[in-house]
This record gives sequence, C-alpha cells and structure tokens, in this order.
Amino acid sequence: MPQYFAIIGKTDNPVYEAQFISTQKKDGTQEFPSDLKELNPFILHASLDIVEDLQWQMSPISSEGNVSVSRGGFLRSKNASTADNCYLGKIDHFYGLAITAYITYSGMKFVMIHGTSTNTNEAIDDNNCRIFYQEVHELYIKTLMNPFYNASEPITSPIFDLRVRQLAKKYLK
Amino acid sequence: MAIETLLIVNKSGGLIYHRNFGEACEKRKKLTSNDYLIIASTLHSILAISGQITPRALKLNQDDIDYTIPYVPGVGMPSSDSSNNSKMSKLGSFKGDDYFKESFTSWNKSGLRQLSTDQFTMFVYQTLTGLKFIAISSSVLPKNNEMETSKNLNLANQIGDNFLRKIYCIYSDYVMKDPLYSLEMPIKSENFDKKVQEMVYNVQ
Amino acid sequence: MSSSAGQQQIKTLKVLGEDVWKNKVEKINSELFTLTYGTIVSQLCQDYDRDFEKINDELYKMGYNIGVRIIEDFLARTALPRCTDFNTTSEVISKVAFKVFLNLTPTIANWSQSNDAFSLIISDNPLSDFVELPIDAMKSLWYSNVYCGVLKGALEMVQLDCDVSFVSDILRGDNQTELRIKLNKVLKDEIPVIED
Repeated sequence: MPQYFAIIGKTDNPVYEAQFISTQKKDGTQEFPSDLKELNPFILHASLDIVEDLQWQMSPISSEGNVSVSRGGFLRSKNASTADNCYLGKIDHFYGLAITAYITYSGMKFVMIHGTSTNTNEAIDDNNCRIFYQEVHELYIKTLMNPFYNASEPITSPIFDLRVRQLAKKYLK
Repeated sequence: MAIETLLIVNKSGGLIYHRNFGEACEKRKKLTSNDYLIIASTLHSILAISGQITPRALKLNQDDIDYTIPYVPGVGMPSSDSSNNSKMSKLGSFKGDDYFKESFTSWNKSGLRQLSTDQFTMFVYQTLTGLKFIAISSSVLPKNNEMETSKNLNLANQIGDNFLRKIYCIYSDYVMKDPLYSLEMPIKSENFDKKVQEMVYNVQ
Repeated sequence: MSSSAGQQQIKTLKVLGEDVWKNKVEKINSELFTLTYGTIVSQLCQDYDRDFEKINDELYKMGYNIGVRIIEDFLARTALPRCTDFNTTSEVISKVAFKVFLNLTPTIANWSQSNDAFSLIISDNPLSDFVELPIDAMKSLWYSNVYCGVLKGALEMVQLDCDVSFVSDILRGDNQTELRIKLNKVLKDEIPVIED
C-alpha cells in the first residue's frame, strides 16, 4: 500500500514530504488515486490538531480507541519505561486511510497517511512503523547538524530524500 | 632557588614581559622600563653573538653534545602536602598534575645557557620560534669545591630549564590563546601574571 | 637518513603523539567543535553573499592566525627538536600535530620528485561531520580551508615557508580529501642565530 509522509514544523509549516509507492505488484493499489493524492496534504494537516492534543495529554486515552498504542503519547508517558514515547501510533483515520504520527522533543511532527489496501481492515504494523519513524528522526537530527541547513526550512537535500525512501522500502509495506 | 626577575624577549629582541618578584622589586626599583628594554635587546644581541663565537670545534662535534634535559619533578608546583588539602588547581589545557613529565631536548644551542656571577645566576631558555625566556635567580653557586660546583651548576641549569619550559607552557595557554593579544606585543594578561607569580612563588 | 633509522623515528613520533593526546591534552566535545566551525562557515557564506572565493580566503586567514599561535602550544607540549629534513616535518605534522589536536593521523602520500612537496590524505575529517555542501558551493568552496591556514601559519613560525592548499575534498564529491603542502624555502635568515 502507498504511503504519504510529511514532516511538519512547529508553526505547521511543511518541511519535507514524500510519497512512497510499493514496488510489489501483487497489491492492486500501489498508488493513491489521483483525486486523493491532492487531498493528502489536507488530510494530514487536519490531523495535526489531534497530534497537538495528544502531545500534552497526561494520561492514556485508550477508551476512544483511536490510539492504537495506549502507552504512546509524548508527555503522557513520562513515567513509562519505554524510550519510544515520541511515537503516537495511529491517531486518526479518513475514509479507511489510517494516519500515524510521531512527535520529536522539539515539536516537529512526523505524520504519515497509510493508503488503502485491498483488505481495508489490515492493521498497521506498529513495530515497523515505529522503527521507521525513529530512523527518520535520526536522519532529521543529522540534517539539523548540517551548518548549511536552517532549522524549519524545507529540507532539499537529495541524500536525505534518498535515505528516507530507503527506510520506507525497508520498513513499510 | 628564588627567582627574582623574569624576562620574555620576542624574536626581534623586543621585551614583551618583565616582572620582579619579592625583594627584587625593591632592589631594582631604580631601573626604568626603558632600562629593561635596553637590557632585553642587549641580551638578545649577546645571545646571538655568543652563538657566533662558540668555538668551531664545539660546533663540528655538535652531534656529540647531549642537549637532553632531565625532568626535575615538582619544579614550580605546589608542594605535595598542600595539594592534598586543597584541590589542585587545573593547569590550563594541560592534563595531569604537571605540565610535562619527561626529559626533553634543549633548543638553545648557542653555548650560553646560563650566566653565573657573584650576585646572581641567569638562565636562558629559547624556543624554536625565537622567543627567549630569561630568569634571574638570586642564588649564587658555591665556589669551594670544583667538583661540587660543576654538579650544582648542572642541577641548577636543569631546574632553570624545567622552570622556564613551564613558563613557556603557561605562555602558550594564557598569552597565545588570548584572542585579544597581538603577536610580538607586550603581554598585559592578568591571568598570565597570576599563573607566573604562583609558579615563581612555588619555586622559592 | 637510512630507512631503518627513519622507521625508528616514525615509530617514536607516533608513540609521542599518542602519549600527548592521551595524557596531556584536555578534550572538548567533538560535536560542539564541529558545530562551532560549521556555524562560522555558514555565517561567512551569509556575510560574504556566497562569494566562495572570498570565504576560502577568509577561512585561510583565520587559520593562519590560529597557526601562528597554536605552534607555541604544540612546541611547549612536545618540545620536539627542529626537523632535520622535510620528510621528518611531514611525519611530525601527521603523527604528532594532527594527532594531538584532532586525534587524527592523515596519510602521507604523493611526494614530489624533488622531495619538497607532499600530500596529506585526511579521512574522517572531524570538521565536516554532518556537512552537506549546498549545490552552489560544490565547485568553489573549500569547506575545511582553515587547515591550510593553520599549517601555513604554524610552519612559517618555525621558519618553513610553504604553500598549503586543498586538492580535493570528499564534500565536493571527490573520492578523498587531499591537502598539499609545498616547501618554498627555509627562511634561513629568520632562524634564531643562537641555534645556528
């Protein structure tokens, strides 16, 4: 299934975006339908409010069911022993599209739309997804360390783009 | 071996630093800063000339002369019992409890490394970049026994070189790394002054 | 210099460099260092309106000012005697100087026929960790040009007049970072007379 991934800055400014298309042919829908493709940025931005809500939540809200990992969240898991409290899991959905998010300590939002597959009930592989986010986070930090990159400006480095795509190929189906 | 005076002369013979310590302040009161400048450039010339008049035979056999100066532990460092009580102050960018701990080769091959008179002894340390560190000590070498004298002379010389190399270390830290210091100009750094004074005090 | 004696000397220098680096030098965080340098370069890019030739010169000048000062630190620390030939100089630069200040041992290569020029191949350049040059800088900016200035300044203080410049840089897409040092002449007049 295809994915649409974006990094959104602190002031909701887009920093980076990419679309991943799976190369496996067996899945019928490798690409977003063209009408949906244009909607992707809107869908993502619509879910940013939820990310910000979750960011400051102190206790897990598993009852709502829209958080696929109950111990996820940012400040909420202050006392949790897991180190991956940046990964928010599935936070929103839009007509069968799942949206997952990850927030860095500096408030950069990594969000991704997981495209529809033939089997609409297919769950998101949280583990792989988390690893993908974490590794992108690491790449992002390395980009920040580049003296020629100004924080919150769009990332134009082809190497960053290449690496992110490699990660997507590795971890996302 | 009390140090009375310390002079630093740059590579063109200009005096960039001079200080008197202890009693010497009183003793050399009459010297004006102009006098010091003259002393510095005179010393500079004498060192140059002494290099020229060093006997030729000596020069030809230069490979045979041992210029190694052994490390004399603790020169200018706080005595061990005081360091136990108070925490050792850090030696700038130098790690450990002393600036260096191995013997080293003297860069000064002029033949004039030490000048002894009835009143004082003078030590000269010269760096590869042409700087000269000159220390004047109040101690006078005993003249009774010739053997003793030459031994003492050697030891004093070694202590002098050890001491001056440490001053060089301080200089490289507090003068060369001061961004506002311009090369070849008189040193006005208070930090440097303080460190030098500490070290001179420890030598007494 | 017979080769066995040369080997011996190189070994001693290597041991010296490692010893000084390990036991005598206070260290700082390398990322702080790398970021500081990066900030300087990117600020220069802004100040000089991306005129990279000028930025190279500026970095060189900054390096020169560092070099004429840091040589005193180097000599105070190591108390090395004057090099007998340019060969030794190259070894001292690579095995002691780079080691002491950057924990790095560049490879010496490409000696010229007349033995008056050599190259330092720098792998793992700490200055350029994380750095990706902007496209417009790829052709003209020598990002680590401060090295050239430092070497020039330091060598000049020990009376060696050299030309130092970059030949290639991994950041520009070359396959190695190469720095060339060419000895013009030994400034005999300036050697302190008392050394003869």
